[in-house]
Order: sequence, then C-alpha cells, then structure tokens
Amino acid sequence: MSSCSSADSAASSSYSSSKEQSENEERQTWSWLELPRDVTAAILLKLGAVEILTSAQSVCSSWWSICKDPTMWRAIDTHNWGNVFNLPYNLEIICRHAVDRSCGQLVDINVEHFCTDDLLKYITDSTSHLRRLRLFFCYDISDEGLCKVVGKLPLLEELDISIGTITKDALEVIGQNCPKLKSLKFNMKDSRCSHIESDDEALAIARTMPELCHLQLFGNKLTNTGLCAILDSCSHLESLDLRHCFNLNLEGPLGKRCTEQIKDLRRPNELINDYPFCALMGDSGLFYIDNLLGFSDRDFLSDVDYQDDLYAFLDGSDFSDNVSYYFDPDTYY
Amino acid sequence: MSSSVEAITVLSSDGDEFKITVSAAKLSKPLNWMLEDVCFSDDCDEVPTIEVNSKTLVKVIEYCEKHAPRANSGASDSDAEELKKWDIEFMKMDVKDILFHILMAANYLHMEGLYDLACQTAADLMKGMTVSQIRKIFHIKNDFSSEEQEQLRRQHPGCSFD
Repeated sequence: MSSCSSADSAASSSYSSSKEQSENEERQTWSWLELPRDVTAAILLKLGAVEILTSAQSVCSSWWSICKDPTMWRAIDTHNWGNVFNLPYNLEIICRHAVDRSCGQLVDINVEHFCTDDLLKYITDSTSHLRRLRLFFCYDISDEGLCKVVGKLPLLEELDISIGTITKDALEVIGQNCPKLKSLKFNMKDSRCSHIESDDEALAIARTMPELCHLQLFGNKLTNTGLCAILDSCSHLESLDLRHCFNLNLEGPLGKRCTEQIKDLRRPNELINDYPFCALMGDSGLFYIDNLLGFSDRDFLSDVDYQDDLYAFLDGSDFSDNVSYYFDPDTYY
Repeated sequence: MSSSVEAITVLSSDGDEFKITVSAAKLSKPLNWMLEDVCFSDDCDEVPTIEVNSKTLVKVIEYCEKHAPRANSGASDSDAEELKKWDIEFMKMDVKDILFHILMAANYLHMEGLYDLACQTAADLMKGMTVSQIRKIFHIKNDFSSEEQEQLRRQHPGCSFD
C-alpha cells in the first residue's frame, strides 16, 4: 500500500477495521453500519426522497442523522408512476417535508403528477438557488400560479414543464424572468390535434429565450414560421427535438438550415425508440414499458394489438384515437 | 512507464496473488499509482498488497478487465448498452454475499463506475421494503428507544419504524 497510503489512509483504515470486525464474511455477519457515512449517504441518495422519508430514514439513528442532513436534499426527485392517489402516503406532504429538509439549499426538483400552484409556491419560497425544475404531467399548475413564482427563479437553467396546461403567456414571463435558462422542455401529451396550427408558443420562446441551448417541443403545433423565428432568435441552440411536430415541413430550405445550424436535430417523423422507458395510453390506462425488466419498446409493441395503430401514429397519419405514445419521464428529464 | 509491462501482480489482503492488466488497473487511481511504482521501481520483486479480500478482489478485477477497453478508448453506443447489461448481470451474482465488500473496495480504490453501480444495487435492494425488512437485509439493529420512536412519530406523522 506504499504508493497510495497517503491519499487513501482514511478509506484504507476504515476498510481494514471493518474487515477485522467482520472477519467471518462467509457467515455474512457484517452490518452495513460499518460503511463510511459518505458511502451510506451515496446509497440513500440513489434511493430517492420518497423511499427515504417513508422507510429508510427510520432504520436506525445513524441513518436518521444522515437523512436529516440538508446536503442530502439539494436534489429532490419525487418520481412516481402516476398512481398518486393509490399510494399509502400523500406525495404532496412528503414533497413539502423533503423541501423543509433542504433548508434553503434546494437546486434541483422533479415533481410528477401532483404539483399544484400552492406546492410550487412552497418550493420556490424555500430556495433562491433553484437551477433545475421539472413539473411533469401537472395539470394543477396554472399560468397564473407559475407566473407568480418565476421571479424567485433567477438562477434557473433547466425547465421541463411537459404535459400540462401552461400556455404561451407563462412561457413569456418565464423567458423574461429567467435569463440563465439554457434548456426548455415543453412537450405535449400527444399530437392528435396536429392539424391545428399555432405558432404562439414558438414565437414566445423566440421572443424571450434567446440564450437557449436545448429545446424539446415534442408534439407542438408550430409551423415553419414559428421554427424560423426560433432559429433566428436562439443562436446558441445545439439540440432541437421536433418529433411529432407534424405541421412542420422540413423538406425544403428550412430543413437544410436546421441541419446546418443545429448539432443534434430530431425531425418530426423520427422514432422515439431511443427512450428506454415509454408509455402507451390506451383505454385501459397507462402502461409503462421498462427496459430494465428486459423489454424494449419494440418487444412490447409487437405483443400488443396496438402495433399497427402505433406505426400509423408515428408516421403522423391515420392513428388511433385510443393510442398516444410519448416520452418516458425518467429519461427525458 | 515501460510499454513492455502488460500486467502486474498484486496481493489480496488474504495473501493471494492476482494478475491485473495495465489497462484494467487504470480504472483505479490507487491501482494506477501502484502500477507506476512497480514499473519504475528498481526492485521489481516487490508485490504490492491491496487491502481487499480475495473473494472481492476477483470481482473487482473482473469488472476492471471488462470495462477497461471502453474506459481507455471510448466506445460506441451499442458497446455501452452491452456493458450496461453486463453490469446488471455482474451485480446479480452472489450480490448479497459481497456487495458490502465491493462497495468498500470501490470506495477505497476510487473506482467511480463500480462505486456508482454498487450504490445503485444497494439502493435497489431497499426499494419497496419496509423498515424492518431493510434492517434484516443490511444486518442493522433498531437502536431507537421506544421514547425516541414516540417523539419522532409525533414530529413526523406517518413516519414508520416497523
């Protein structure tokens, strides 16, 4: 150990002593309390806010102490599968609790399905350091509620307000109040009404968010006019995701301009199979397809009757009213 | 460093000898320092000891050898995907037996990838478990007194100790 003893003395001695204390590893008599505090903290961070507050923190006094540390709560992820009302606990209360624990140090929060104007105010009142905010599938957040709090987000760099009721009005106020905004995800649930054209949101983005580097507008109703305005205004744009924006026509010069100006361009008709999690919305509800369980989205689709409908949908033509296909919350955060 | 050296021999804390290739050793800063010591040392007979037991060291070296090509030369997305699958299988094997030791070793050897993987595996073991089940999995005793539990329950409604 001569070569690394100085840099690793702490870790090394900790390891040696734990080894002495748990010589008989074959019988698995070791206790995980022997892990260094920062290793336990790293594991608990992987577990996430909800599981920490509903179970892990109560395991022992040492874990409780780790879980009380505000540094554990700089990033809060309340990921769930949309079954908010069937859970044995109240996610909103848990989220408020997690925000309290952060003691003003919160920089990154993901709230899925259950955020309200009140909760958003609670979150933004607690910190002035927020850099990443994700409000996914939160229909209870209004333009008014969002506009009231954006003044408290001067450092915001990444915003994802996909699938909800937010309109161009709130987008403009966000753009005016968040000068550091580099990444915006403003995705629609689906593009069933794609024949309706509207550049309102695209123009709001072009007017107020010239510093954007990454923009995702899945299923937006923008036309070439809106896209042109974005390209004119957002000169730093590196990635632009226009999948399912079926009112666009990128066959001509605008398509060429996109290719030249944007490093990572996703065209309207590109497949979304690079997302390990995807969701299908059918009559019977929401199904998530989990790659980690050994399913790819293709595998799953080949097993269901929706296949034809889906491919029609991906082509932007005659798709089923019962099927929508959109991003996975995990990966596109 | 001499380019002729392709592998070095190290001793586990149990005194067993293991060979690790130069490219694999680069995944760990401490291992890399040892490697440089061995390569530049006049006394090439000295075999460095790693404070990791044999059973764990086998796994650590297996991980290093698998990840070395990608770490040293970069790789395509399909390689990354394949490696991810391999990682999942890797952590499935005897995971409960030696996960604790792998975590310790990855921390001690500054192996970011393995550390991250082991932390995630440990966290996954806890998912959906009750407090009592977590204590059982990780061999941890409930050291809260009943008074403390009562007090914490009052302060944090919904907080469970079972």
